[in-house]
Amino acid sequence: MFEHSDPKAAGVVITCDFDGKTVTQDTQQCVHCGAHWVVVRGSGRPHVWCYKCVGNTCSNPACLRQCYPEEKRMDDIAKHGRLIWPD
Amino acid sequence: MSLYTARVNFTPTTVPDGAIHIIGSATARAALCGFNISSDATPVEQTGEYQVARTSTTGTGAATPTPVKASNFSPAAVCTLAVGTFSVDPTLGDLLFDTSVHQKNTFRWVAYPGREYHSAPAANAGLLIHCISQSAPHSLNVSAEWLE
Repeated sequence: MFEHSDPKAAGVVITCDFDGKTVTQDTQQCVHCGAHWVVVRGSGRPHVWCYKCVGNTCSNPACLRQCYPEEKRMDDIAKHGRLIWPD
Repeated sequence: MSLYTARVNFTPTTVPDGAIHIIGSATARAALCGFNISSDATPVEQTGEYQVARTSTTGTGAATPTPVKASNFSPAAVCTLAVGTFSVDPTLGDLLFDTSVHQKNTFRWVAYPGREYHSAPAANAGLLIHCISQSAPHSLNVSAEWLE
């Protein structure tokens, strides 16, 4: 299913189908790790709305389980040289 | 912020193999806002898997070209590049994007403003576009645009 109508889209994939017709698909961005994923409605992949970060997470179990915002990750790498996962 | 571009044409030898590695620093973070994957090989039925990931070491690429400014009025890029076949792979961090692309297809991803991939603010940290697997080795044309 090709989606290009998501108001929360963070990016777009532009490719073509087997007939050579241009296809665009929206991507959303994880508020925890910053990854993008192609929006496929009904895919069954879990996504969680984080009320602290006010946004969706990707399907990575670590992002689903804990709130560790992207900018906090960047700060931790700058200060400690590695990620400091919350308990 | 200024826009910079890089491109490479190469054939992955031992996968996973890097294509474009944008290396930032503690003071200059790369913000990847778009990339393009295509192939100039004779069209046949084969495919490959490609990823974008954060990195924490530079690795050793086949070449280290100078980033190309999108505007003549931009300053020279602070981020550096390593492209082509990597003899030493960078250390991977967060996986940011994963896709499969048929060799006959052209794949382009563009971030909306403010939703780019950012490298970590640390020395030798960067963003890598690399090939995870190919059903049969075929040449790739990969280009990337980033802000810094």
